[in-house]
Amino acid sequence: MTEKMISFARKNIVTLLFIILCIFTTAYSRQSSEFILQELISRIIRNAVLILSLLMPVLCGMGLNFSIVLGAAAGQIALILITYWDLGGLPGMGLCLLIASGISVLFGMFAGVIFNRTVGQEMITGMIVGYFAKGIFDLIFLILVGTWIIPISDSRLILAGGVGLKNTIDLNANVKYVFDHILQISFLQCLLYSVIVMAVFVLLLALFHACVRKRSRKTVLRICLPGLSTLGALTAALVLFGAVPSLRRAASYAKVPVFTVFIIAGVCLLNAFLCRTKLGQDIRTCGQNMQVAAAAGINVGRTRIIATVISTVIAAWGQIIFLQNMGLINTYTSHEQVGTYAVAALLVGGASIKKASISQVFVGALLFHLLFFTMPLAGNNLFHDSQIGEYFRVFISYGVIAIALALHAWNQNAKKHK
Amino acid sequence: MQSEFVLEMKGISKEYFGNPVLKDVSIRVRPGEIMALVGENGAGKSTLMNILFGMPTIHSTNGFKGEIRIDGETVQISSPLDAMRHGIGMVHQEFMLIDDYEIAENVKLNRENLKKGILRKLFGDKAGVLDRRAMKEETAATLDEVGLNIDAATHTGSLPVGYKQFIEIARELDKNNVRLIVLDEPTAVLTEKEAEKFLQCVQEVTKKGISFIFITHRLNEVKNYANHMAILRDGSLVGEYDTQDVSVRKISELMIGRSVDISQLEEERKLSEEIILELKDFSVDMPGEFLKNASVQIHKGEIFGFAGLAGHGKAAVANGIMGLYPSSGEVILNGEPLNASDTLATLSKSVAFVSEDRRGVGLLLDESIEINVVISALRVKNQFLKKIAGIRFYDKKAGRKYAEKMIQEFDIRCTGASQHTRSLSGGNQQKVCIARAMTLKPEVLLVSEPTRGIDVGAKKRILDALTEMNQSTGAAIIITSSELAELRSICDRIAIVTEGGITGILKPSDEDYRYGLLMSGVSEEEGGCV
Amino acid sequence: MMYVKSMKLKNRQHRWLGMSQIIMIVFLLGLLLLSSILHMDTSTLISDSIIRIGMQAVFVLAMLPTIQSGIGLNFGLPLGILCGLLGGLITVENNMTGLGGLFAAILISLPLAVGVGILYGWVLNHMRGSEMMVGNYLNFSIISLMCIGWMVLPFTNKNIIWAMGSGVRSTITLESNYEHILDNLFCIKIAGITIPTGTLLAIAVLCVFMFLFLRSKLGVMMRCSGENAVFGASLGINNNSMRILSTVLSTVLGAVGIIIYSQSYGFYQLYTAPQMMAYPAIAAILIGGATTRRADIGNVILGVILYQSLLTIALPITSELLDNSSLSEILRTIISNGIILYALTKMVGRKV
Repeated sequence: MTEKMISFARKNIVTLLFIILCIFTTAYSRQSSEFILQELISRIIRNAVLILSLLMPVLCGMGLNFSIVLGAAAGQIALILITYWDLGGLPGMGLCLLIASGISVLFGMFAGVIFNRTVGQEMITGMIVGYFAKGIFDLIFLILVGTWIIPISDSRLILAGGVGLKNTIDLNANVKYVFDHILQISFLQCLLYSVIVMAVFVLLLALFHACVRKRSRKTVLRICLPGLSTLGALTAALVLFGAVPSLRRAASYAKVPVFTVFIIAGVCLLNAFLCRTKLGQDIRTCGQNMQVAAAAGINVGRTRIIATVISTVIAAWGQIIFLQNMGLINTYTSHEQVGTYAVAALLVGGASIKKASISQVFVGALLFHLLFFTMPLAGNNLFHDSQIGEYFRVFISYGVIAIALALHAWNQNAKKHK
Repeated sequence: MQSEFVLEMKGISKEYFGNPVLKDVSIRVRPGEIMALVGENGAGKSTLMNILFGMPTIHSTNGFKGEIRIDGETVQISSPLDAMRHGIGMVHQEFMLIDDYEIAENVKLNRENLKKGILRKLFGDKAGVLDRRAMKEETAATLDEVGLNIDAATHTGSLPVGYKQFIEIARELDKNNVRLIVLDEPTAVLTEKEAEKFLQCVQEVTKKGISFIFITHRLNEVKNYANHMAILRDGSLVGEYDTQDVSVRKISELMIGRSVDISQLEEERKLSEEIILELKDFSVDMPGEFLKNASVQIHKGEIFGFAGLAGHGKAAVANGIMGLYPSSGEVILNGEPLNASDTLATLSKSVAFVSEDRRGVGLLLDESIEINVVISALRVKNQFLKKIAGIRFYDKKAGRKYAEKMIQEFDIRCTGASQHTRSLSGGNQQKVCIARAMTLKPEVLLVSEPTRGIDVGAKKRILDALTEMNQSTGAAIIITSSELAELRSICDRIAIVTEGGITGILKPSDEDYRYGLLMSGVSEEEGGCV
Repeated sequence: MMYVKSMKLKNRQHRWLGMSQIIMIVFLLGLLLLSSILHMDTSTLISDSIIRIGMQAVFVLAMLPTIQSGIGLNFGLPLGILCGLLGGLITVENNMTGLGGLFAAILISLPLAVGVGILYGWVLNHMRGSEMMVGNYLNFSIISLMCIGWMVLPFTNKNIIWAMGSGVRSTITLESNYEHILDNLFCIKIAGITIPTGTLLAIAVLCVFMFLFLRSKLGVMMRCSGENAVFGASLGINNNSMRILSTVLSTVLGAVGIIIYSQSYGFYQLYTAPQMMAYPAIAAILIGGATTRRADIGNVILGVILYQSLLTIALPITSELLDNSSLSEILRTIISNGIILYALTKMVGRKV
């Protein structure tokens, strides 16, 4: 038992360390539980899809895809277009997602083709691709927009000089928070509903397998076990948040944007579905061993490009969700750090360069972003200087990537020596 | 029309850049039989199989002559996919399995069962969901066929090596149309027990009418399990027998049989009594070439050969002595123990080494001939250096002069001493390697595969240089080579390394079959009495 | 036939002056001509580029050892820069001035850089195959850690710390210490072109030192081991120690480089300023004709001249034509990252 615990701790050392850090910074941030819960929920929801976009390339053995910056840029371009055309509401956002998907397919193919020429160095390549793309992005939107090449004149978008987009672009009223404001319920309600939905779902599942498929009781239990444990966890959370007064206050105060949650759930399902298809199996095979995959007749290069494209497209959606929640675009910087933060969050969740799962996405998002906004506050309270916390969180995000990379390379080398 | 043979390859000839590697070879395989294909390394077995599989290497080098018939009908096989379509399968020597997958996933690799669905209709098979239950059921049935009683959901990585071979076979069998499976040295990685079980299973499968081509060096296995056999030597078919009609001794004779003209061999030299190099229980941990507990004594001034098949450990001898791979046991040089892991010390005790991996280990491909020739002496003996202000600098003038001298002496064809070695031909590259080793003026010279991949003229020149050096300086030369005939033409004694151990030391004048038997891992008594 | 083949191969041999470099030189000369046609101040352009060459050359030189030892491009160069900055700050703290101050800064940073270089090399030895990525993120994280360091280090000189609050300023002027001390040493003005002779001399000395090192026995051993580690092992050369030697050299050059850079620039820049400083150096050596596996002193000199003069001469001209001031920064990003990307795709390795 103790051995198991030790090996569990060793495997999840990064995550455990972050849990401890988070407890510290949350305590020292001296904020109300309402504030922390609300902030945490909105940050997780804002970032979840961006982190989810990293899963496919990991599965394909290409490591952490730093080039999701390209996808983010595609999402941003689509949003800028929507703003320029003065579209909005759900149809407008639908069009926005479509345009973003189209652009990011092209971007993803570009990145994928380059990755196929730099096998084994995909991560550094992805990073440089990101920097390069940022240069091109700036060139187009800061230098060329407004000149005879891309003749646009719109005082909401263009700088006073008539050339180049503004540094921050305010989104239209019917684009801002459009997903978030469709339906909002409190966190407590959200928990309650999820418990009910989950219970009904598990019941139906059990009935279906017991009565229609005529499975034995043991098999039914086995099939329902994941559902049951989720139900248990949700119920426990509900009891906890319902019973403790301060938590109850926070949970009834904090709002959850239900529609956005559905979108995130949709992306999760899409990801899970892809993993079960032939394509998903091909991607997994390429990730496990490229030679074996090629010998079995799988087109490795094509599969890797597809994985990159999927990742880029999901990143574009993620950036749109992110920005509609922010309400404005920092034209030249919003996409810049997307790769770093998403990668760091995923790693904090316990993922590695070889393995990542949906649950790690959410654990990572929770821990990383909790730390991210409590750190400067805690720094301010402890050292009377928020700047230290600010720097420390940058250090944490780079550091966790460096450590994950180092651990991976170390293991890889140790294996070779065996 | 049902033909007597499932596969006929008729009059197959193949040249690589004017070098004939297969000369008018014909083989035939009956349905439901095991046909063994035996021959030394480089006899042409793998080229023949590459032709059968339509490998790109064949077609990018002007194809081949001859005809392939399957069930009596002439077929064109221009890609591995074609071969698959005709029902020909391959079990690779290194496992083409993914350890993290379940057995069912490996068996069904890229042929997964898919569920029906709308998405699959819309977007094609890639969007189809895997039908894991069907995969498991079908795999279980196939595993049953090969007599493997194991759950199809087991992780492949947790299986013992012996089982993995079965899974590869199961994968081939699972392809519905498979009729002929090529086994490329399947037993090389198995223990004797495992190999036995494996071959029994293969025999079991033949009852279903599936044929096997079985490539191996273990003649006992051929004798016990194959129905029929073909022997290749130097690209020619030298014999085709039913296995019960031929003795192991006869097979090994045919395999080796270069029938070296003993009268042409030089007279046996009188060797010095003095021992210059002795190995005691020497083991080397070299991946793919393990050597275990080898003991041998080499005399002063001797030319000593290590022969054996690829992968059996002969290459480990020199690499182990030079400390390129971890070793245990004793190496005694001139009566003094040598620390094999300290490469520099070994070099400075006048031991020089020419690697078998010329382009990988033997040369700095992007450096000049000059640097390649002088670097060892510069490192070990501090030659070609000049001291300025107490710091040793490379003396380019001296290096250049020496390199030019060596270019003349060895007749290295190049544009000058500054040409990079990457652009030299194989023979000239080897001359550079040997020139470098000789610059150290060694007492013991270890040369591995001195003539591999080299044209005839350069071969002779290199062998002459070695014997000449042996005669003029009295240095002992230890040659490791796959070319037995060559070893027999220059060595005083030859040790045969088989399956990681020295199985015997022979004289060049010993009979051919003795070499063959030792290489096949058959003891002489065993081979003699069949 | 064999002969023709070998001739073709020979042409592929590594040259520091390749076709693309010649084209770029011609392009540069054309640009100079264009600038005089546009009535721009050609001599100022040339002066500017010489100064920028002087500032950056040592960083480019620092790329040489790690490429030669087989590690590849040193994305962790800012680790050395941090050592140099620390040494420099200590001299400013103690009000050291003039050439003495400059040398003191170098001397103080040397042992630091050696230590850091050994550690860095040791880490990279366990990261074979991922050196670039690990080096890069090691750099990023240490830079951000040092951001905290700058805030808490006990400096007291009022030139260094913020007038209000705590911590070190983000830029520290060297006006009263050793601003332009090397630039102005034996400074020559010809036809309106200012030549910072002292800086160029210092660079020449470092280049000669590097040139000699690469031709010493140790240097030859390092190159052999870097080109083919197994070949090196067969001569008893320890590849790990050669690689550590190269990271030490590179880190030391990074430290010396930032001090030379800063005296010319007039400021020490702290906090996140050094984070991206490896990139232009990497781009420069690649433009000079180096690859991730091979480089020579010629690549360094040609590269820094081409890259820096391209940026300082071409960019003002394009800005002039397109009338936009932020263009140069953007083009710099595109050019340097494009070059690095190109070199990565040309790396020897598996392709699919």
